[in-house]
Amino acid sequence: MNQKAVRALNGQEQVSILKEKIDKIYPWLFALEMAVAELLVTVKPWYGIVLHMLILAVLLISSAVAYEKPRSKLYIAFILGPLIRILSLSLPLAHLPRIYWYAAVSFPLLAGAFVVARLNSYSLADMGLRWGNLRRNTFIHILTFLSGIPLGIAEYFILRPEPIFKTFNPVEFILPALIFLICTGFTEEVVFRGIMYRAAADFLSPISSIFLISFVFAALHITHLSLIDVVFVFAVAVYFTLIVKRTGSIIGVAIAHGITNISLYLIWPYFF
Amino acid sequence: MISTVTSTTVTTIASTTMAAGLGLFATLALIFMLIAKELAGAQDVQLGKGGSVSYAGAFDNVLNAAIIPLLIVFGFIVVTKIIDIL
Repeated sequence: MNQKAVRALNGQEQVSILKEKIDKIYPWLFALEMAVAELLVTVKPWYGIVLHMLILAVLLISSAVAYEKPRSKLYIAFILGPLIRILSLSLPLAHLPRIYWYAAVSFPLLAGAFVVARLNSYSLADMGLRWGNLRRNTFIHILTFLSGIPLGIAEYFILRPEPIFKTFNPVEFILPALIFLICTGFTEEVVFRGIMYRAAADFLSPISSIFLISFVFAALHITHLSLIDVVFVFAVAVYFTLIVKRTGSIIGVAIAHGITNISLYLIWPYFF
Repeated sequence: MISTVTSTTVTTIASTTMAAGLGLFATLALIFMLIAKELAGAQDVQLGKGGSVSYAGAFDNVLNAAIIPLLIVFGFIVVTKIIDIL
């Protein structure tokens, strides 16, 4: 092969390497756009929802253009980010008691999550809906469940949310606790650690995928209007993702996430 | 009045008057996506089934991820309106 041909081949290789690197920047740009849209939602909900819709449209087109490639799977999974906000803002929830709002939003979101899983050909095990190696993971799962309690206390002192009911009643506690466990803990873990992280891990490096998904998760907490909470949630998301990476299961973190929310909204407001 | 109700990711910041407008917006987005899906499906049929999936076919498939949750939202809005009228 002459020198010109070798140089041309090297040039082509360099272009493809550069293209690959640029492809790996796009998910971060989408994540940043979601953060900007969330900031807009806090100021002008209309503009925020329009930006979320635009991000959704671009993600749909991008995933269709790159169909059946790993980056397409990540873009499809990312659709769930803007969808969370579009669903929570467009559902007419004013007539319902506050506790049912979580259930109302999680139902269409879970439906969307399972469509995404099907498009990406993920089985339940691929999404971490399994216990994994119980002999190796039992202790980690138990510790993870229990970590929900201190996480709930920490987030309570950051957000200080209003209690859902006027007085603490153990009978009234059961249904809201189940709603928090399934509609926030389980649903959000399926979306973020089950689908988004799985899709990111197939396309990006392990560290990059952990930070990207944790960033998206934290960005969707901007509407809490607390910078400390966003940082706290980012750290918790990294911790949850590391547990999922270690055990291959989202069940432990889903229960921990549920316990965090139960204690945050249903227990600590009555004790502090 | 702006009310803020928060869970971890399911956050709602909306006034009651704004909620109706945002619901309308979601319905318009759903209609737009259904039209896009129909056009993409028709284009895919016209191109015929080869070995690989065409862009139109791929777009037709991925649109389902947004259409199905928005359809549920639409159903919820309709049921709420009917209950309001009754």
